Amino acid sequence: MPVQPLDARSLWRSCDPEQFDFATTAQLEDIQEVVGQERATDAVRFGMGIRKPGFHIFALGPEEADMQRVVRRFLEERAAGEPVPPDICYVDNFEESHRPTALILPAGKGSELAQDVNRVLEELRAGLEAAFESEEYQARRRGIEEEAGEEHEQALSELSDKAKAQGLALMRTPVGFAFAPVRDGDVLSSEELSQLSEEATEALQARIERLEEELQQVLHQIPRRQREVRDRVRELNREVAEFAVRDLLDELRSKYERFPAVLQHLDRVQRHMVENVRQLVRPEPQVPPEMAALMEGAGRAPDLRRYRVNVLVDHAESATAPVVHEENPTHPNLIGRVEYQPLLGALVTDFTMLKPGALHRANGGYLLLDARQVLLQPFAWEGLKRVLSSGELRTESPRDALGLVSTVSLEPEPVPLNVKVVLLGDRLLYYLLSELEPDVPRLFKVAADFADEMDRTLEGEQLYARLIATLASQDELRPLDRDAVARVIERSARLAGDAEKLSVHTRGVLDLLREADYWAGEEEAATISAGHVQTAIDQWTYRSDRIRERTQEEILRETIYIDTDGSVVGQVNGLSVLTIGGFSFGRPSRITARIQLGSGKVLDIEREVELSGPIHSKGVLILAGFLGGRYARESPLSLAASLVFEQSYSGVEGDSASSTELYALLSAIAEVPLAQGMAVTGSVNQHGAVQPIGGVNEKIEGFFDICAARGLTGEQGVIIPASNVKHLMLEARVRDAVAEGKFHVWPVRTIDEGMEILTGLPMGEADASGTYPEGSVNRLVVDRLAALAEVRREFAGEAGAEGGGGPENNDD
Amino acid sequence: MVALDASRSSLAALEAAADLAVALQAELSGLFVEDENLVRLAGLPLAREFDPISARPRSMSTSELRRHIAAQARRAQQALSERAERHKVTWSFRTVRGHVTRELRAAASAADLLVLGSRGRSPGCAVGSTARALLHELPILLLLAPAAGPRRGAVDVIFDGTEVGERALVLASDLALLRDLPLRVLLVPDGAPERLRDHAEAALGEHGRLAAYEELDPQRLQNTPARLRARGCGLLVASRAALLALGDEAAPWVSDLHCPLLVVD
Repeated sequence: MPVQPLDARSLWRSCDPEQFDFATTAQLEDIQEVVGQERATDAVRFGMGIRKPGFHIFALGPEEADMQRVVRRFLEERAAGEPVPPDICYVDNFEESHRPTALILPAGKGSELAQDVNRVLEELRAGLEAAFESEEYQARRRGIEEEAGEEHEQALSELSDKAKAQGLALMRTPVGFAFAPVRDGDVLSSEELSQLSEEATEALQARIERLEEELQQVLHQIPRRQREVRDRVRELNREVAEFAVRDLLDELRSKYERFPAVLQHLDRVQRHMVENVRQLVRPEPQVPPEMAALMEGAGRAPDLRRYRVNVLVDHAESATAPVVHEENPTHPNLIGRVEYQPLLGALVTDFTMLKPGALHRANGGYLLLDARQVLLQPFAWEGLKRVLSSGELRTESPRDALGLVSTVSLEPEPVPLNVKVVLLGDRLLYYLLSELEPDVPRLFKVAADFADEMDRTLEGEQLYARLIATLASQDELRPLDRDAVARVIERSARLAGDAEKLSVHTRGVLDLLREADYWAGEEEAATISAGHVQTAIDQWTYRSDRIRERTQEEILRETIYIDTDGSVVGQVNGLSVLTIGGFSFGRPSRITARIQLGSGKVLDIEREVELSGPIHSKGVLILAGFLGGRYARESPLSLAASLVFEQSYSGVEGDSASSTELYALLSAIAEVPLAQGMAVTGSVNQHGAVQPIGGVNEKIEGFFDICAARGLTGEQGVIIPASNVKHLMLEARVRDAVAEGKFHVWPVRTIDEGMEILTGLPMGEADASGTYPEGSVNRLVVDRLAALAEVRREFAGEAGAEGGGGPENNDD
Repeated sequence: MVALDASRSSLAALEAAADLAVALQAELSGLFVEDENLVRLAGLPLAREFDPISARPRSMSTSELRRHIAAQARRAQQALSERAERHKVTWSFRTVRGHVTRELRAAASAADLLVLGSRGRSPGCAVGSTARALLHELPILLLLAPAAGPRRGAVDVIFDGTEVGERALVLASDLALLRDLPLRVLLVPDGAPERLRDHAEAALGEHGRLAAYEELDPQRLQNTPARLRARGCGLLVASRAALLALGDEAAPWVSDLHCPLLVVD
């Protein structure tokens, strides 16, 4: 019994607006759960709950599924019930300044400590100056200095007196001390000296030499005494400074007594302040004033910044655990960075120039990252892996790690890391990564796989209506009436390419709602109606439609040859789908087959010139399997066939044309003409069963539009695999034509069914002897093959006679 | 007139002198004395000097000494010009050769006030020999500046009721007014302190009421420097007679002062 075409009702599954008990979506409450993503949301929930190393989450799915919004909402809900993590601060490690010390303090305490320290530092200089200017200090210091000075003066004074008694004077020259013979307060001139007797001169010389020896002894004492004075003054300074500093810091000590790390730091601060009190009280720059001014500008003057607290992460204002989404996950934005300042041509840094990364900010909470972005940024992926593997956050710049720049840098003390990372990426990326990157299965053990579609049941449609309502209200769009909701649901099924499924690509749905809202706004309507939704769809199609229109135009102008009536041997209309910029449309292609005498080889011209993909080639090879299995079980196939996609200048991929090629081939062998008013799609297996294909709706519409443009004859239609019927969501224009009997859609299960529709002839069943009935297509094929085999045998015989038993079977 | 030898003490004297020159709108005149005795010493065959740092002997030569002295004079002149220009006072500078005290005394006769560092260059004396000599005999006002340099603080004056004391009192009051500083009168009573205070107030006139008065025990005058130090004295004015009354104590007394001392005759 020949296959009956589908009736119009089978081409479309409408959504009944009457099933909804609301007038507009304004009456619906927002839904909190994520529609149609139970598997993914369960995975995210599990991933967030499990606090074990390596259980980070990789959310995979199509971009349109809006994973980021979903995951983020989940994370925020969970974070709301979790404690606020501690603040992260860095302070100077006074022993090794290039390794700043991390201080982890309860939330809010970090900035508090920083403020307290700043206040102390403000008071410090004044406090120290007061201590060092006090009368007591001055008196003690002067006492020490004068004591030494007096000793020294005393010794010189005694020597001077002794000299005076011997008629000599101890004099200070511009660069030293000297003894001079004097008379009446004036030094003897050389004439006066020469008048002295030899003995007197010698005696004078001897006296001077004795005194000079004593002078030398006195002078030798000076450095030692000066050193002693310095030591004693230093000791005094320490004592005074310690008193002043301790007084200031004790206040902080009692406030932060519960935090041993702070106390330890305060002890170090105190020690350092006491040891460096001279710079603190009177910052005496070791450089010229102009240079000091420059250094001040660069923040490098010997000042108090070493004692400050650099609060990297301040949770003073936080109420929940952090959820951070880093949209630009560069290495420094993730791991943190060390900034530098130019100073007199060199780059310098210190712990105050440490800046936090997203991992610092997300520590104790959740970090959301786009996997592709992380992979695109140099060093970011390696940095993230290292941190997640080690469980501690170590801020270092890749520049330092690679040793590209040698300048003073920092090695901050690592901070313990407790963060849950969620990577968002498409499926292909995830599968590639888990295959090629061993660290992905190790670190991202939880895969949250977001679905593309959900089941279109009655409950599903109700839920979907609420999803539409939620999206509209969250985006502050006009409410939709129930007809509009039904239209959106139908559109969603069409987007899913399946009458029994709904697309859960919420971003696509939201875009449709926004566009419909725009058109409603143009008409100043209070609600979005089905008409607005349809306008949005039509307008979107119209905007994307240029290439489809051009293709159709070329067919109609017969630049591209597609027949839509008559019948031709070895020629059939195939259908393909093109997707450009998110817009898909169907396009008919002419496929032809020719046969000649040969050894059973089916030559696919597309494959020969490498214009076909492997799946297409596979489809063609299956054809040979089918032919051999059905018609050449007992004798070899003695034909050679060639198949071609006419006027195809780019590649062909997919096996959805394999049934089409088989029809052309059978037609060519049997020399039976095929109706040209029909187009065919479907793949075929070796047994001749027609298998489902994708894009069935676009394909049917593509052929329909050509036929409609040329005028529908009532004979035209499309043959599709029966298993694709459930996917049909055809546009109204096709449904209307089918309802009027002007166009047909035939569902077929086998090649035989399709061949009967195309030729109008029966295929014919083999009887017990394996003979097909007269007039059937199969009989025509068998007869033609037998004739070809006969010709071949004759040809081989002649060749053998001529060649004297030569290699006549070479091409078998 | 300020005596300069480029030592720390003389630079402090220069500061004090510049301060006063501003207050009094006077000219600053620097004098550098090339010490004849040193030149003579360098000319002696047996002359050698000892380096204070290494304590090693070094033979002296006149040419080298002259070079050093010339360098000192240059430094002194530079210091003078810098300070004078900073304070915007007119200045002059000259160098003379001879015996330091004699040359200063001679030069001072042409000046209103001689300023010099109280500490000497020669070793062994807390108050330089020059300062000591001039303290005793210079006929004009003498300002002795301590090595520490001037500090801002009140003007103190020792008043003993004598005629010179009265002059010192008026001068101190004028200086305090000019520099907008408080005036403190230290009374050294001979008999009734009340009368001495009335005397001082009368001598000061209008300004007298603003001054603070304090009584000094004549037996314990040697403690005065410590007291002045403790409460921040910027300048002490005293008559020569009052200082000389201290006898041998005068020199250490002056060296104990940490503020400039203006001696009035």
